[in-house]
Amino acid sequence: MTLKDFSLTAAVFRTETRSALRDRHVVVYSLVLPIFLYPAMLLLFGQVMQYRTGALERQTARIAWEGEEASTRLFAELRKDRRFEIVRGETGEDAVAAGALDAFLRVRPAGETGSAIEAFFDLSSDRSLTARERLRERWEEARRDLLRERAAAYGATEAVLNVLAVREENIASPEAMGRYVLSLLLPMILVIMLSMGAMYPAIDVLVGERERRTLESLLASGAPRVSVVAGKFLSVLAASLAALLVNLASMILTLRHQAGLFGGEEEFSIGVPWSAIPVILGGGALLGAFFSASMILVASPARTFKEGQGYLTPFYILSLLPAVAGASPGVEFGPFTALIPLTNATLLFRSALVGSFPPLPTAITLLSLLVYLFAVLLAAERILGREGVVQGRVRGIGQLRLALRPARAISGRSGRWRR
Amino acid sequence: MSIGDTFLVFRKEMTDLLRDRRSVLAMIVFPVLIHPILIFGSARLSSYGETRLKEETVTAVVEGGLPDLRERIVSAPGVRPLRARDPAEAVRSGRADIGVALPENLAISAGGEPEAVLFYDGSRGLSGEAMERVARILDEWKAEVREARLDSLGAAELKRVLPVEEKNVASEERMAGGKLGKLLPILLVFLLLNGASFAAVDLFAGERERKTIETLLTSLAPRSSIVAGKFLAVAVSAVIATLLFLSSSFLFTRIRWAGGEGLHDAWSVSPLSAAVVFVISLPLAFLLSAVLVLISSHARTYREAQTLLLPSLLLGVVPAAASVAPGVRLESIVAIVPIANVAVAVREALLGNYPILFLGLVVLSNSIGAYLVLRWARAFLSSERTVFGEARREPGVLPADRPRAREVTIFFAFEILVLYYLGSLVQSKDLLLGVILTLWGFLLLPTLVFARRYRLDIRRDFFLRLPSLRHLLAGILLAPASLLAANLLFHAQSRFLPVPEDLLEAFEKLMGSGEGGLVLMLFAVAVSPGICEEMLFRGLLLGQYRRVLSPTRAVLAGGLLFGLFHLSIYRFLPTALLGIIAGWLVLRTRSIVPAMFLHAVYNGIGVLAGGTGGALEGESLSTPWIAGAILLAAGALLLLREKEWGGGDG
Amino acid sequence: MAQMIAADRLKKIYVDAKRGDVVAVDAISFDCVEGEIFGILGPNGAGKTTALRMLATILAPTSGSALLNGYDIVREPEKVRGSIGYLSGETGLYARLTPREILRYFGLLNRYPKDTLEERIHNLVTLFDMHEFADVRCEKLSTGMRQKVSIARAVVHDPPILIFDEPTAGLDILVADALLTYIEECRGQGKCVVFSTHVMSEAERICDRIAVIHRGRILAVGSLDELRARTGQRFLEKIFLSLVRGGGEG
Repeated sequence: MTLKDFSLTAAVFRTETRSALRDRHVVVYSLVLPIFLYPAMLLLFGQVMQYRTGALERQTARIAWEGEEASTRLFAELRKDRRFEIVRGETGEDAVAAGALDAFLRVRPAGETGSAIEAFFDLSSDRSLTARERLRERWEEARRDLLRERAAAYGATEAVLNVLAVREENIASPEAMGRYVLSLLLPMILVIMLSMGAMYPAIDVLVGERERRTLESLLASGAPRVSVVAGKFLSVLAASLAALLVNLASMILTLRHQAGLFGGEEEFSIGVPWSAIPVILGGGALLGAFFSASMILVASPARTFKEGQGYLTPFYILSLLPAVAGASPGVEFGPFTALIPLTNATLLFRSALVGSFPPLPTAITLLSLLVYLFAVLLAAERILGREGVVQGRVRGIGQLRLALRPARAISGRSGRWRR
Repeated sequence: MSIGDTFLVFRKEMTDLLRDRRSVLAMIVFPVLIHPILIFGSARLSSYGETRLKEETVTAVVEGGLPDLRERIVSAPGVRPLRARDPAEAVRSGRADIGVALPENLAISAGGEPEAVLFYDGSRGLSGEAMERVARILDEWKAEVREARLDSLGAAELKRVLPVEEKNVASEERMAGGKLGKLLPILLVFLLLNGASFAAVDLFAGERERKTIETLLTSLAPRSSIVAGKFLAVAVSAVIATLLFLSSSFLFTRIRWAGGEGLHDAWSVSPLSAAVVFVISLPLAFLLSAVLVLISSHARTYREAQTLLLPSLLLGVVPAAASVAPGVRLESIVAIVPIANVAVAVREALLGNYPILFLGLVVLSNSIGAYLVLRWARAFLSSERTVFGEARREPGVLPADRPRAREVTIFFAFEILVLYYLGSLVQSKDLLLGVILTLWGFLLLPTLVFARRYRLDIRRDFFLRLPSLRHLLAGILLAPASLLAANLLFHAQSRFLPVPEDLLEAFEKLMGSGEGGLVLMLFAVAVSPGICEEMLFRGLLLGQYRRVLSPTRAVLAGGLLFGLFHLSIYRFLPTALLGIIAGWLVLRTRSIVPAMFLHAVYNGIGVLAGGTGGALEGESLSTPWIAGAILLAAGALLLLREKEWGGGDG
Repeated sequence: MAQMIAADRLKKIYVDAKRGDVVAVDAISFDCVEGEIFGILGPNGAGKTTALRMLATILAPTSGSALLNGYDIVREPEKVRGSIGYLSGETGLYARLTPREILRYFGLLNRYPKDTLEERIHNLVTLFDMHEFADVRCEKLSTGMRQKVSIARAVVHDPPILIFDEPTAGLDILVADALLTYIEECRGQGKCVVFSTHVMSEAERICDRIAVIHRGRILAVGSLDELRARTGQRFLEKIFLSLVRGGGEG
């Protein structure tokens, strides 16, 4: 490519980016949505949690029992507790099954094993589950009290029964915890955003142009084909990276904010280590380029935008699986996983976010991403170089295979477009 | 409407859809293959990850006395011992996953009970897993020691104090139904929308884009039949896609490797439950399809329709999700809330409850909803905008210059974002000063900048003119009654929306803190909102909405946004009410100043009445209070009325 | 001869976001009888399409009305639709249906008697020489073939009034000629045809009467001879220019 080709590439890139920024769909999905989505989601989640709490508080557990000998104190406590409603007239486990009671307690008379309480619940019902939770609280308390009193009769203190206190101490700093939380949440979202950010522009630059019937004039303009394709490719990549950055920033801001709201700053301090930024950007650029090129390629046989979407949606959805794999706990960043596309990028982001950069997997990841990118670019050059594809005469995935057969590819330089 | 035409349109659309590779993809291939692969694949992957974590060997450093306990920990399966002097340091350096510091012995000293410390690194999954394993071992060991001690004290009876035996009365089938009931309602909304969206977009926006709509509209078929036929095709695609997905996931759960735990035993629901679920999801399918038809008939192009799809998804999922909240029962007001009632009914049906009357209500309310939405869609079908594919409006009250309602609404959204980030940031540093800074700096200032940017006339467009003394007085007199009304509304809504106690407490603490003195408090919480919030809502928003909407709609829209602005479901209705009253007052008096006084006094009374908590709890609802408020309001209305007799001034 | 179309002060105003109120059609009145081809001649943006869309009941007039076959377009749009066949140059076809299916669909939608519909379709297929491609999906057809299908689609229910909005746009000369010939045949069958175009030669060839429309107004109506007499010009092109320049700007 000569210097002039470069400036042509830049011109194509500028035009494409400008037109993308004027497209409402692109603006809404790539910029507005991430900015508003995360705060809105957290806000909504907070409201739903508050509503749940309020509803739960107001909900009483409807209970009834038979016989009180076992622990009169327990039942006295239950009567006092406003969270329980003692239902008269309903009794027996059948009432629980019928939904008239949330729990039924039957006190078995003291036998050789001592008295015992049978507690009946309907574990398929939420109310019954809540009742169980509250009842457990109550009888744990009653049991502790009873035990303390009776143990005193034998001369044993609570400490004797306790044996040993156990304290759990988290040695991770709030920063480390914050990074860990991010490393669980972010990597998959980043990969998805990279691919979503590339999707619409990838259809638009080739298929959209074909649909608007502007492609022919562009190809007739005398600009080398390579410059045109490169400019378009770069603009898709830019959109993809922009989506990555906007999402990253918005998500971190929201999480920081939310952590501050709940006063959880002692436990979590949300932030990204500086050393992770170049890795995320570098890996993101490679992966974004891979997405951009392969999406332009997959969409290229389509005649209309809609059709392009039809081709890309399965591609996009199936590409989620390796990303999910990379985000699953227990999947480690090793030399083998570093070879699987998407999984490796997810793992790379994950380890970079906690500030660790295992040299071998990192190198393998970057290298393999580069190889995949190169392979896709090569395929793109071969396929998009055939005039039929650009013109839209090769239709359907099946015919794409025909195009893949080696043929006299029209090189960029002599790429004058003939019928 | 003609049944024949409807069927004709339906048949043609189904043929058309089934011949399209993409719609076959969306309707058949995705639900049968791709979605189950994705769902079960990712479930499989994450359970694989968890299993691996459980099986992994952890490295443990155990220091201190109690050799038998130490031996038990290091010899446990899956634990590799490591020698190090400082267990905490070993974990910190990453050499060990868990560090245990045991006490020398179990003697109870003056310093208290013996204590064991478990050092772990919460930022590493394996370390957390190691901590759990060791904690379990400790628990077992403690229980054994305790029993031995009780035996030696001759207190074996204390091993069983207040034994409770928990029993589950729910049948396996009900348990399965309960499990599925949490998942299925939301899944149904997703699946139906997913199955319907392609067809919906294709049938209206697609027809417009392909320029076939005119021929259809000039045919003799009534528009209602066209909409109904297309709608049926959409609904049928939705139901087919959903059924295909469900049957395909059934098959997937039979494959061993997929191991779809949640769904596997869910298939033991009774055929009757399944049938009831199917029947009550049909109206949901209708309603969701109708909503998609509306969107598609409104959109000019395929892409525009797609842009609008996401909000519809949220609109559908939120009520479905909310219905899973505790205490929501079908035998209540919920039975008439579309979508949410289907979600509740599905859950109930899976538990084997079929209250016929309420199920009838569910079917009815969703069908009526679908019908109304379709009627709306029909209006779009014949509207000019949709035929032309370009924005053109009927002439009307609109002034010729460009309406700014959209820009104003975007500005409102931006303000919420600013408040969310910046406002809470400064308020967490210092509450009162933060509130003042938020109101003047982040609310009023941007509003004025916005006004300048769009060259609005601050006096005219913000109703900023001196009111008559009478109007001013009316504004002040209205405040107690407005507070009373908001209070009553708050109480009425708390029947459906009970406020969590800790939220109430936190609010009271906030307001009753009296920090900074009463004057500062009044300035921050009463005067500043009265000026700044009024300028944004009753000035900018109302002023601009008034240009494109009727007075009633403008006041309502402004009021609802004011309610939304407070970002809390509990405060939404009461504050919206204040917003509506203030908006009405502005239009009535043609000045924003009485509304400012109303707002300031409203908040002021709240502060003086022992923190706004009083207003929230409604403790001050004594009879004299009510009588006085009503009397004052009557006076205010009289003042406002008399003015009208005097003839309006410009 | 029975009057088929009587437009009475039809007016259409749009609000455009940038330009404010735009008068697309400004109170036009005209009438046509059966067996007549009525041409509407005007430059792009003159309001031809809007006027015809109002006649076809796709758009509602801002004010004024029209009677088609005795039915009012505002009050009885359904009855009007049964009496018209509408075709515009940019009308599309259902890509995945075959021409025969499309004809059947619109025949049924327009209440053509079921028992004779197949015969009607067969006749149309013969008339437009569509045998070769009558059962091929429309997405595979050429522009000329598609236009044939579109015309057949517009007339499948044998309506007394035909509204053709620039039907020859984008057609090659052979197909365009066949279309014009067909329109002339329709006149022979006593149909009333409204036909808009900006191609002078077409108007000259087939129109019985011509309305010259410019900026939403009718500048003149009459037969070619009448227009010649009025403007003193021989060729329609000159007549048109003299009307537009004289009446439009002045």
